[in-house]
Amino acid sequence: MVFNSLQFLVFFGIVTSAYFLMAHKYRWLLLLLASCYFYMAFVPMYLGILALTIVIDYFAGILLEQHEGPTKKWILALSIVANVGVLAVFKYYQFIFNNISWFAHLLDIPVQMPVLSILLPIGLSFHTFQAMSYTIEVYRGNQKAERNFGIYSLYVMFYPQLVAGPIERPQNLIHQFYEPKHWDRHRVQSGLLQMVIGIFKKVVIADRLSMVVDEVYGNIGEQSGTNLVVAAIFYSFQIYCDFSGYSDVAIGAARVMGFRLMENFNAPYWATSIPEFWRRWHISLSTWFKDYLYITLGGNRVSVPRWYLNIMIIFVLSGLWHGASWNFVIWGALHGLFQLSGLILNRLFPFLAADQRKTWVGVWAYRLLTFFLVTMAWVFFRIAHFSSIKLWFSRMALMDFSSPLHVSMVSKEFYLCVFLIVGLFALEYKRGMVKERLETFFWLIFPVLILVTYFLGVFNMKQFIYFQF
Amino acid sequence: MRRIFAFVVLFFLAFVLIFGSSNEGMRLLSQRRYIRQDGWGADKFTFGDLYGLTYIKPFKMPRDTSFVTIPAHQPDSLTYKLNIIGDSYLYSFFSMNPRYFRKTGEVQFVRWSTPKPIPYRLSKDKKNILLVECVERNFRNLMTLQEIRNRIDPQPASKSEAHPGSQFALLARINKGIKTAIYHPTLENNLEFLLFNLGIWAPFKELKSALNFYIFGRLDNDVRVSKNWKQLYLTQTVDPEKVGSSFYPTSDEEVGAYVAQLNEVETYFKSKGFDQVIFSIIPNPVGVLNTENKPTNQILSRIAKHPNWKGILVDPSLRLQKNAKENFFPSDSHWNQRGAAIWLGQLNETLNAL
Repeated sequence: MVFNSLQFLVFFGIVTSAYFLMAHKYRWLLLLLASCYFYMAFVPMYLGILALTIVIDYFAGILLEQHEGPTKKWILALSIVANVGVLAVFKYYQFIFNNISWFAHLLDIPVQMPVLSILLPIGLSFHTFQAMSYTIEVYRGNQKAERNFGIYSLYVMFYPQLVAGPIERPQNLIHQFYEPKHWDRHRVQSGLLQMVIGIFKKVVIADRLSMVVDEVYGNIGEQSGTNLVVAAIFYSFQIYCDFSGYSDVAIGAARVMGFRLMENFNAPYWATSIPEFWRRWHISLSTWFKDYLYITLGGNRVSVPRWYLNIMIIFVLSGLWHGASWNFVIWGALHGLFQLSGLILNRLFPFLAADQRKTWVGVWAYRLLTFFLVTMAWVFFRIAHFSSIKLWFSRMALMDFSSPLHVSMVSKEFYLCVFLIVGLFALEYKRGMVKERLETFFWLIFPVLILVTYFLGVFNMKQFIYFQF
Repeated sequence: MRRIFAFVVLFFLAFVLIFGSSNEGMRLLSQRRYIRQDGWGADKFTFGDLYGLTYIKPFKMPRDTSFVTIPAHQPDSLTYKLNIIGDSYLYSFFSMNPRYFRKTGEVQFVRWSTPKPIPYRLSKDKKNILLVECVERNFRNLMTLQEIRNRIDPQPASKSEAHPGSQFALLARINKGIKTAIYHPTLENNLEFLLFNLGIWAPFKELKSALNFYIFGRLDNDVRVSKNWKQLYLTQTVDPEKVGSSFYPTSDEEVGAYVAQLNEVETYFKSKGFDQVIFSIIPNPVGVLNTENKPTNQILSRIAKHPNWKGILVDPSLRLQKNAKENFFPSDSHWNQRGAAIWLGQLNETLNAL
C-alpha cells in the first residue's frame, strides 16, 4: 500500500476517524492492528520476520534493564546480532554470496552456497534500525524497557513510518503512545497540509522528473552530455522529492493523530558543505549513525587518522545500508571522501574553509560545489551496474554539451520541471515561514493544492524509491 | 459535531472498502452504473475503452453510432458443436448463441481471460469444431498449444501459478492466500471505479487530459492518436517496437514459426477428437484503417500464404478494409457491430463450406 494510492486514502480515513472515536486506552490496539494490515499489503508473510525481531528486542530490552556489567553487554550484543542477522539473511546474503563466489573464482576455488530466491522485506533496514535504537537506548539507560508488548510492537510498526522512516528514537515516540491525544483543529490541518505537500512532491515533481531520468538512464549509450547532465540534476531533485515527499506524508499522517515524528529533511540542497548536507538529508539515518556508531567508534576524539577512518566507516556502512550492491558502497565512500577532502583542505588552506566564507558569492560557490558533488555521487546511486557507470563517464568524457537536450518530454513540460525545481528550491529557503503562511490560509491552500496535484500529477502508482531499502 | 463527522467518514470509507473488496458488490455496481446515462453512471467505457483511458473530449462519442443488428440464422442442419476460445472482439450476445453460426447446434465459449480453465466437452452426435479467435496484437503469445490447453484442455499443459525453481513455493502460495483474503487483488481499480468512475467527474478528467495532451503532448502510455487525429489506437498495435504491432518487423522465419505454432495446435486438438480447427486472427484496427501512411507487416496474409500452412484461417482484413472507418469505433480498440457482422459472415461462409 503506497501513500500515493486510493487504498491508502481510504485506509488513512478509516484509521484516523476510528482513532478519534475510540477511547484512549484502546487506541494503541487500533494502531497496531492497522499497522499490521498496512504492512501485510506488501508481503503478508514478512510480518513474521518483523514479529521475530520485535519479540527478540522486547525481551532484550527487559533483560538489559535487569542486568549489569558484562552480561548486559552480551545481551545487547546478542540483540544486535539478531537484528543484523535478519538484515544479513534477507538483504545481504546474495551480495555476500556473489562476492565470495567471485573471489573464489579468481583463486580457482570451487564454492557452493545455496541460492536464496527471496524478496527483500519492504522497509527492513528502517524498522531494523529503529528496533536497534531501542535496545541501545535501554542499554545506555536513556530509555526504560517497555513492558507493554503491544506498545513496543507499535513503536517498531507504527504504520506512517514503518516502511521508509523517519527512523525514530524510543525516547521520542514510545511515551507518545501513552499520552491522550485530543482533536486539535490546527494540528490536524497542519498534518493534512503536510501530507498533501508530500503527495505533491511525489506525483507532481518526482514522478514527472523521473520521465526524463528513466528515459536517459535507460539508454545511456546514446545520450549526449547535455542529456546526461540534465538527467543527473533531475535525479538529484527526483530522489529528494520522492523521499522527502514520503517523509512529509508519514509525518503529516502521524501529526493528524497527534504524534510528533522527527523531521527527516531540512532543505538539503541549500547546504554549503558535505557535512552540512548530511545534517539536512535523511536526518533520522545520519543521526542514527552518528549517535550509535560514530560516537561509539570514538568520533573525532581520537587520533586524526583514526578519526578519518571512522568517517569512512560510517559513510561506507551508510552506503551499504541503502542496498546490497557495490554502487551503494561507492556512493557512501564518495561522500566519505568528499568529507575527508574538505577536512584536509580546511587544514591546509584555512582561509578557504567553508565555515569562513562571508560573501554571498562565496556562499553560493560552496553551495553549488556541494550540489555538484552530491549530484555526481547520485549517479552511482542511480546506476546499479558498473558497465553502465563506465558508459556514463565515457559519454561525459566526450564533452558533448553543445547538443540541445533531446528527450521525448516536450519543452513546455521540461520548463515546468525547471520551474518546479526552482520554486521548490526557493520556497525551502524560508520553509518555516512558508509553512506558517500555508497553515494560516489552510482553507484556501488545501483545496487548491489538491486540485493542482490532481491536474499536474503523474499518477502511475510508482513506488517510492526508498521502499526498496 | 466532530464525532458525528468522524462517524460519517468512518462508515462511508468502511463501506467503500468492503464494497470494493467484494466481487459480487462490484458486479452489481458495474451493471447499475453502466445502465445509467446521467452523471451517476459510469463514464469509463461508455464512450469506448480508449476514451476511458484518455478522456480526450473530441473522442467522447456514443459507441452505438454504427449499430447494426446481426441477423440470427434459422436452425438448419445443426451438425456442428462449436467450441470457441476467443476475446472481447466477439460480442457476448452472439458468441454464446448457436443461432448466429451456420449449421451449429451448440456453442461453448471460453474467453482468453477466463480466471479458471473451462474444459471442452466433445459432442458425440455432432461434428466438433474448435474455433480459436484472437486479435492480431495478442495472437503470438496466446495462440500457442500451451496457452490454449491451459484454458480449455481437461488436462492443462501447466499451471500458471506454479513457481518452478523456487524453494519457497509453498510459502509463496500461503502468502498469496493470505493476501488475497485480506486485500482484493484489484482493490485499487475497484476503489477507483467506486469513487471516480462517475459521469460527474468527467469534466475534471477531461480537463486534466486536455492539459496533458494539448500542452504536454502526453496521453496514457497505452494509447496513441492516429496521424489524421481521427482514431485512437492501443500503443502496442502501432509502436513498431512492440511485438503485437502491425508495424513490428517480422521476418519470413518468424512467420514460419507462427505457422508451425498454429499447425501444432491443430494437430493436437485433432488428435483429441476435434473434427476441424479454425483459426481466426482479427487484424489490429490500425492495419485496416490505413491512417498511418506506412506499410504494415502483413502478418495475417503472410501466414495464409505460407507454404507450410494447411489449416483454415479466417482473416477478415480485406472485407473490413471496404469502408473501413465504418467498421470501427474511433475511441475503442475494438470493431463495432458492423465489423463484427462482416467477420461473422465470413466465418459462416467457412462453416458452410466445411
